Amino acid sequence: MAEPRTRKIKVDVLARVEGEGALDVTLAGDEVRDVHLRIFEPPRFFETLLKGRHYTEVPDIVARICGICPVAYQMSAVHALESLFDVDVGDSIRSLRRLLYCGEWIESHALHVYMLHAPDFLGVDGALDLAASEPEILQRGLRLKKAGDIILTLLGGRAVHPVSVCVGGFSRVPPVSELRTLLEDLKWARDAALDTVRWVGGFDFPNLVQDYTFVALQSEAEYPMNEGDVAASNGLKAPASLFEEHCEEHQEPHSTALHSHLHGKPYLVGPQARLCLNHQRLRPIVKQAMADVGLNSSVTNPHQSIIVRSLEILQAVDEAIEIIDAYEAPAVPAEHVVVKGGTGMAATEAPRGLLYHRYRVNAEGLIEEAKIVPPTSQNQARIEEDMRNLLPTLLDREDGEIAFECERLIRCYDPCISCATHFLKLNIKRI
Amino acid sequence: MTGLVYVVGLGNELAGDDAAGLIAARKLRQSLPADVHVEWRDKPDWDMFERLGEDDVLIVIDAVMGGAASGTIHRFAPDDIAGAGLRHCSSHGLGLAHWAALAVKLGQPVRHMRIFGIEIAQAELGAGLSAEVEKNMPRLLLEVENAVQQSLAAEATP
Repeated sequence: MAEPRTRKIKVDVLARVEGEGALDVTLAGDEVRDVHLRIFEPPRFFETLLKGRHYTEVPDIVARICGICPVAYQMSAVHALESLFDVDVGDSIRSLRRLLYCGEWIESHALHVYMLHAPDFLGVDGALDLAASEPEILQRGLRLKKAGDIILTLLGGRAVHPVSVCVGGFSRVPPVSELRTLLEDLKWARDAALDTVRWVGGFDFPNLVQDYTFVALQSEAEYPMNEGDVAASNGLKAPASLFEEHCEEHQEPHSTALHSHLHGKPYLVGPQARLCLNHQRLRPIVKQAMADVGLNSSVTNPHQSIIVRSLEILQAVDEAIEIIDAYEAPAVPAEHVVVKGGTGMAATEAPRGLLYHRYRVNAEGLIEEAKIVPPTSQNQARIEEDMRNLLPTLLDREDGEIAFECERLIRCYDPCISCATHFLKLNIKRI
Repeated sequence: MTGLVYVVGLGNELAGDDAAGLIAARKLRQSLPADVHVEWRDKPDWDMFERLGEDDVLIVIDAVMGGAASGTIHRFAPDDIAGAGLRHCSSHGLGLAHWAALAVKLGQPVRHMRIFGIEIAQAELGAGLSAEVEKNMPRLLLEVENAVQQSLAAEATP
């Protein structure tokens, strides 16, 4: 019997994914032999960088991990440290933090929906082509993103790598009058977010159904951002402090980033997981928009994640307006912190999914050990599993088409690979 | 007649020579007239372009990796950089060229935009500026100052 012919296809860069990494696919005839998403993580650079630093430096350092979701890193960090120091920030600070997180969800999701993901459904190569073919649509996306940016700028001091978050609260909180200046833009954004849901709800979605185990925070009171237990669609519910007992990280030879498994199996974090586990706590306007586009709460087609992200933009804008309307400035911008040695853990919901932090601190407030589990690392094994399911349906296609479809599927997860890596190339090998 | 003059330095101050634009802007804040809007940022964003009025001037200073000798100073107009390789954009990779290209496509007034780049030697975390970039920093500052003065002179012309 003749040896099967061997072909190797290389696509230089996986386009429109946040950051870069590499995907290697090996096909043996009709069998998908290997799928390796290689993430070249700067070997836990930030975890090492944090060692020996004072706890007060942590929020500003971890904000540097990602230019798109710095608030998420800050939030998980301060919650972890506050849980160790027994700090209760009170309702007003809590609301402001939620508002800040709303800003990040809006800007991050708007960027992904309009500039990275939507081009896949419109037959254009990227945002630049969209700017040429449908400039009004792209302008709407840019203005929607800006509605998130202005929240970050006002509360965080600047839109990228905000500087006001500290353990115990904020270094500065705005007066009511300042916050209210955001309302006009946010009310426009609420209409734009509704239009966005209707727009993406009308896209033509490839038929691809995955068998997901969803993992997200779950709170009785609200759609999760800063608080809640770790829940899974397999029935798990546990305090965030027990995250590592259920979601285990392990090293794969092909990647310097750690893979995560829930009880030995891949799982998915992110908007689809949040929706599945928290749809009862969506705001009424979001529930209505979801019904209008005919979306179920269990979204098992990854391509439809663009609808879920759009719904979460609407959720965040509508909630931001409510927070501002009800806002009363706290008596002090930050609660007093009494340092004690020990270990603190917390998880919050980054735009891309659950983000877990653990810190061991000594009695002087110096960090002895830091552990950060970003959402993209958690989704890495799940993305590989999706590729194994997708590839058998593509075997009769040209290699370039296969590469595009793989890229397209990865984009559905909005991987913030720069949080965990630097380069992404796609290689398909047929043996 | 020119409108407002913006000078924006881009860079990551933790990443070696990548901080060159940011450091240049900080120095220029000391030497340029107070009515010139000087700022420094970790990365470019749409608001840099969105705020521009028809006659406004935008001068951007950034680190460049273009294969020239370290310390070489490059000068670009937006059309020079708003071209090649832009399909491979991401939100982390949405750099100056991408935003400038979008500005051109969406009709933002960038006719008075100028970009000054300095060829870098390294972008290592915690490394600080290289000797080559340090050596050429005064020349970079002088070129930007001259460009600003030309814009202000044009502004003074009725």
